[in-house]
Parts: sequence; C-alpha cells; structure tokens
Amino acid sequence: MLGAFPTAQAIRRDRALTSVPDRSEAARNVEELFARHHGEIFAYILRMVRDREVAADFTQDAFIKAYRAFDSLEKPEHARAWLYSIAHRVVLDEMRRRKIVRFIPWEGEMKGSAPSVEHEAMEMRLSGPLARALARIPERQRAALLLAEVHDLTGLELAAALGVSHVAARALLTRARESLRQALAAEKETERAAEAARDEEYRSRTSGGRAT
Amino acid sequence: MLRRIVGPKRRPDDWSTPHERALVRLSDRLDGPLEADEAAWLDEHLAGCEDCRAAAVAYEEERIMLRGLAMPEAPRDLQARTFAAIEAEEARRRGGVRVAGVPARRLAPYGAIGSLLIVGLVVGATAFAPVTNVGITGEATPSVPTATVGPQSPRPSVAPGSTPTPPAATPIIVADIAPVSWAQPADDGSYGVNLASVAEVCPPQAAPDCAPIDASASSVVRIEHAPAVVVGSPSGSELVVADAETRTTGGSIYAYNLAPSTPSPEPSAEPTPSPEPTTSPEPSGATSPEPTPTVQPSGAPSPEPTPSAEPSPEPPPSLEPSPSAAIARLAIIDGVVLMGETAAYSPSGTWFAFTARPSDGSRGPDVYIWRQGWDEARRLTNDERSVFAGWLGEGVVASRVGTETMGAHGGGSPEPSDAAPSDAAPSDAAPSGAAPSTDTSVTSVVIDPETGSEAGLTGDGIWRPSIDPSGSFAVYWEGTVATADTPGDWRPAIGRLVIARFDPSADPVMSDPVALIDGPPGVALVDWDARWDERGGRLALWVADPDEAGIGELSAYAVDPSTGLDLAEPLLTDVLALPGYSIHQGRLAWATPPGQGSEGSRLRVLAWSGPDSGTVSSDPGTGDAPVIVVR
Repeated sequence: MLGAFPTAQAIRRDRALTSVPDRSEAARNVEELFARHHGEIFAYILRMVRDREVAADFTQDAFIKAYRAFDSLEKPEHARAWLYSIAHRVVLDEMRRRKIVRFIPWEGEMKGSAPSVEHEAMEMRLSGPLARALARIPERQRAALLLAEVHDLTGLELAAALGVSHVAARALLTRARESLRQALAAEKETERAAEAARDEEYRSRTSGGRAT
Repeated sequence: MLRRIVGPKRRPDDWSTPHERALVRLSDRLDGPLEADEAAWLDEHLAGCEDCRAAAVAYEEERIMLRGLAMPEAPRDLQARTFAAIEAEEARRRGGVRVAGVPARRLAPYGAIGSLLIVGLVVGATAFAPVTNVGITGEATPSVPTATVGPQSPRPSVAPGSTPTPPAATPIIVADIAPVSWAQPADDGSYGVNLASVAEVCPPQAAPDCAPIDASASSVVRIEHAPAVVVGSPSGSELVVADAETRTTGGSIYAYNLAPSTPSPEPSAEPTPSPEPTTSPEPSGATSPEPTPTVQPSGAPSPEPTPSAEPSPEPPPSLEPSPSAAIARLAIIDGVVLMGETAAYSPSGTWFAFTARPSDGSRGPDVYIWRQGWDEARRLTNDERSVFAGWLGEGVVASRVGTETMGAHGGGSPEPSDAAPSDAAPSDAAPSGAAPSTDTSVTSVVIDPETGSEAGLTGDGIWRPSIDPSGSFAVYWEGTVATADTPGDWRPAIGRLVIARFDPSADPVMSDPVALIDGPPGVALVDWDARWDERGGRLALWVADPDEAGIGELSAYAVDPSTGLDLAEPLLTDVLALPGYSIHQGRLAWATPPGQGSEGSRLRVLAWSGPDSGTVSSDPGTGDAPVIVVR
C-alpha cells in the first residue's frame, strides 16, 4: 500500500527526527496523506467553521480519525474523498453542537465576540455579501457547494464525502445553488434596506431630530 | 418551499412545474452535459422563461465567485502537532498507560467529534450476521454477567468512493441490562411510573427500524402530583419523588416504599439493576487491573451501615408491576427548593442525599440525607453553602463555597475576572455587574452520613466532583463559582469542567485533568450532571443549555481504567435531553424534550456491550408533558 503514496520517501526524509522504528503502517500512511492533502482539508474546514484556530483543531482531529480508521480505507485512490468525508463529519458534528451549546469557547473569541463574517471575508478574500450568503444557507448545502465548486469533488467523490447517495448529493447541490441564489438576493435586499434606513435617519436628524 | 424542488425519489417525469425541472437541469448542467433531449427541453424552456434565465445567470455567477475564493494557508504548526498527536495515539496503542486525551491541544469543545464511530456503527451494522444470541426479554435471570451484543463487529468499514447505502437495521440484542423506568402523565392527571425491559436496540440512525419501547408497560406506582425528579434506589425497592414545586416556589420530596413488608409469594425474576458485584458499600476495583485504593472518609463509617429501623438490608427487588399492593408514601421534607441534578442514592441504597434550601429563603443550600426508617430527611451540613456532589463509596461528597471571599469582592479567585462577559454569554448566567455575583473559591469534603464526621477531600478549586465507583476518575469543576440571580444558587464562574485521575492517597488527589468544557470569563456553564455506571466504565454528562432552562445536551463516553477517557469517540454525543437521566448496568436512559420536530417527549435508551452500542426509543408522548426518567 505504501507504494501508492509516492511522496513517502520525501516525507520520511523531512521527518527523520521524529521517525520511530516500529511505527505502524497506518501512521506512516496518514502522515503522507497529511502532507498531500492537509492544505485543502484545512481550507474546507475553515470555510465551514470560519475560525482559523478551530479549523486547525478540526483538521488535526480529522487526521487523527483517519489514522484510527485507516483500515477502512479500501483503495488508496479513494483517499482524498475519504479524508473529505471524515472532515465533513467532524465539521457537521461541531456545527450541530454550536447551535445549542453556545458557551463553548472558541479561542478566537475569548476576547468577546465571535469572528465576524467580515473578518472571515478578509481572511478568505470573500466578498461580504457572498460570505454572509454562504453563512445563511444550511450547512449541508454549503458543504456540498464548497466541495463541488471549490474543492472539485465530482459525482461519486462528492457523494462519498457527504456520506449520501449519488442522487442525494446531486439533489443537495441543486438545492444549495438555489439557496445561495436566494441568499445572495436577500443580502442585496438587506443592504438596500440598510442604506435606506441610514438615509432616513440622516434625513430625520438633519431636519430637527424627530426620528421615528 | 425549496425542499420541494428536488426530492430524492423524484422521477424524471415527476416535476410539479416546468420551472422546478429547469432549475434542477440548470444545476445538473453545471456538473456535466445533459442528455440531448433534456438539454433541448431546457433550451426551449429558457427561451420563454425570464426567471429561469436569470437563475441560469445567477448559477454561473455563483460558480465564478466560489471558484475565485482564495486558498487559505494552514497554520505552520499544524503538521507538527498533528504528527505529535498521532505519535501519542501510536504510543497508547503500543500499550503506554496514561490518562487519555491527546496532549497539547484543546480537547474541550470537541466532545462532539465522534464521527467515525457513528459511521462505523452504521456501516458496520450491515456486517452483523443474523443475530442468534439468546436475547433476554425482561425475564433475565439476575447475576448473569455476560451481555451479548450481536457478533463481534471488527472494524468499521467505510467504503469511500462507493455510495454508502443506508443499511437495513439489524437489531442488536442486548442482554442483562437494567430495565428502564420512567414517569408519564395519565389521563386523570396523576403520573404513572412505568417499567420496561429493553431487549433490542438498533444502530444509531436506524432506530426507526427497532420496535419502540413498550410504553404500555405496567405501571409500578402512581404519583399524585406532577414530579420534577424521580430517583430509584439501586435495589428498586424505593422511589424518591420530588414534586414539581421543588423546582419553583418550594415543594415536597416523598419516599415511596415499593417493597411492602408482605413478602412476595413467588421469587421475583425481574431484572433489577441490583445483582452487580459493585453494589458493595465500598468502591470496588472490579474493573481496575490494579487494586484501587479504598476510599473512606476519616472517621470511617461502618462498612455495613445497619439501618436503625426494621427493613432488611436486601428487600426483595420489587420495582415490578405489583398488583396494587399498598405502597407506603412518606413526605421526607416539605417546603424546600431542590437544587441541581445531583440527588442520588448511595451505591448500597442505604442513603439518599440531595441539596436543598428552605423555600422561605431563611437558609442557604445544605446537603440533606435520608434513609429508610427515618421520618424525615436530615440536614447533614449546616453552613448554608454546601451542595451534594455525589457518593464516594458510602461517603457523601459535598462541595462548599469558601468563606473568605463571601461578600462584595471576589478576591479569592485564582484567575483575573476582569474580562467582560462576551456577547455570546447569556446575561442571566454570566456574572455581570447587575447580578449579586461573587467569584468564590470552593473546596470539596467527604462526610460520613452515619456520624457526620467530615474530612477534606480535595484542595481548593474543586467543585462538585463526581467520582467513579472504582475510585479512579472524577469529573468536576476546576475554578471558582458565583451566584446568579438566586443567592445560594452557585454556578461555575471561572474555570473549566474537567475529568481527572483521582487518587485519595496522592497529593493532590486529582491529577492529569483534561478539559471537558472550558470556561473562560464570561462563559456561562449553568449546570451539569455527570454520572457513572456501576462499574465506572461508562460516563454520562448532561450539560444544561445556558439559554433555555430545563433542557440540555447529553453525551456518553467509555472510560478505561488503564487508558482513561476517550473523548474523541463518545458513545453518544450532545443529544438534546431533559435533565435527569439514568445510567445503570449496560444502558443509559434519557428523555427528549417535547416539541422536537413537533413531537412529544420520548424515552430513549442507549445500550452497549463491548464496542457495540445502539439505541431504541419509545413512541412520542402527547402534548407538552415531558417523560421523566427514573434516575
């Protein structure tokens, strides 16, 4: 199986200091997978959770889980989708948790507030409306959209990563596109309304202060 | 609305409007060419549909925007720490003994990540051969310790790339687990306490395929008033019921003696949770490879407390449908507010302990105890600042708010509390300027209920330790507490909820704490309820929702005495649950809040054996009445 990971030698060279004679094959292989895929896995998780620290922790979690479950990887060529599926579960579980357990501290938030969408937008060079619109759509849809459009997972890979059937994955993607369209439209509407409200407030102040 | 656009069972010719079909095809078209006739249809439709053309443009724009996203860079230390964590796992698998938990990273918020376990169970379920093990349907012979959950399912098998199909649920037969008991309202306004055996559970997400728990199980006893808390004694011979008013304006707590003195004519075959070797009064090291230190408060209580009054130490187990035997009810205390979720029988069933304060506000909270033969509960502490944390053998573990910092200033807090509560923290629980709040140091003691003699158990800063029956681990709040709205209602302030090694002969007694929940300033951990099963191998943790009173999240973990807690692979993760659950002999029972998915409250049971576990539910109740699990 090792042969399927061509960077193995390079990685071991890089990690000469940490190599241990009786390391398991699973550990070696997962570390090779890490070298090849951690960037995109981290990016996906960051786009889902919108917090660098948390995303880093989750990426680590995902690879530890990959190590634990390495036996379940049947074919090396499926490794990428398999990693995404693990990352996806890590993220979804946490999103579900965040909805209810709001007191869980996020390291990035210790000083007070959650990382704003604007902060995230800067971080990822998202436009404000796109960031907010993405934040509005259901997580699973967002995941499908990101995995398909940004991370280039195709049909079966997408289905495997999302842990659903091929048909369900496509349906999810269709819903996601429509949800994002509507969310973007709503964002534009919100911006227009905010603009109008500011204008109104400005007018009422300058005309004697009887704000309604 | 959106949901109707696409459904998984849609047939190609099953579109309710041509626009739906067009939107689906527009999306499909982005992922690959359409079949010729479908493409032709779409073109034709677009020609005449301005909205659909707009959607087509919007979808293309979405794609361009999304593909233009920058690739964020991963932190530089991510590789080193991930490899270190994998190394740690390797070391552990090679047999290293240490408290579990991946070092050098925050574990706290991630009890949630049991994903692979869940995947494994679902997929692994398909590998179950038809179960031929002898299931027990409730007539379990006591003291058969071998529980069986299907055949051994070796490794979770995830097939990436292939499409995971939902497995047909193969029910898992569970044997020799404790029956479950719960209270539900009857038509006449009274509450019936029911008892049922669980013989079959299903892997998670396949639960609908398991036959629901028989909710028509025979009623054990009727309760006239709406209960808030129901606790069953280990032998099943007693119930303690706190009425609903104990949670509000003040109410009464009753004891029901279910084992009337008239001897049962035939021997009971009901599988009560009792016949466990661990019901001995002292912490047993049964699950520990090495002898566990026996823990007793100084001024040790006699290991076999002799009840002052008549009842035999082992009344016939009778938490079973009994034909209207005269059931004795005794109000053991009136006019109190019951505090927290910790009320519990001692392991031997001799004592019942709880935290309460008089509802007239004349006193602060104290620990109360009661035993059969006493007319009423008695106050065990007398300082108005003690709460019951749990049992250590037959010793009462109480936590006490320090005296030195009572008052206006929180000078004793070990950490600065200057940071303002974060926006995310709900105002009612976060120590804000308005509330009568004082960060205060805490300590925990163990008290002999026989004599009242007291011994220090921990150093400062340890609040409400819940110690496992083998005496190896404890879950507790490490930090300070503060009052919120109600004086005496102490809540965690600054610190964290941890699990640690417990060794009463060591100094400090707690070591290697691993955070379960972090609590920096402004964080509102309102309440929690950590309980262990009799053997100490399973831990359940209920955490109150800070925003919504009377609801919380329940998780369950396996704890190995040699390797500790595996936080990363919980048995159960953050399911919505009402306060008050029951963890005994092979199963965890809890109630879902009414109103989830516009359903009534349900009783849910997680049962396990070895690495396998599964769940089963009752049918939802009606209306808003909650199911109340007998703890």
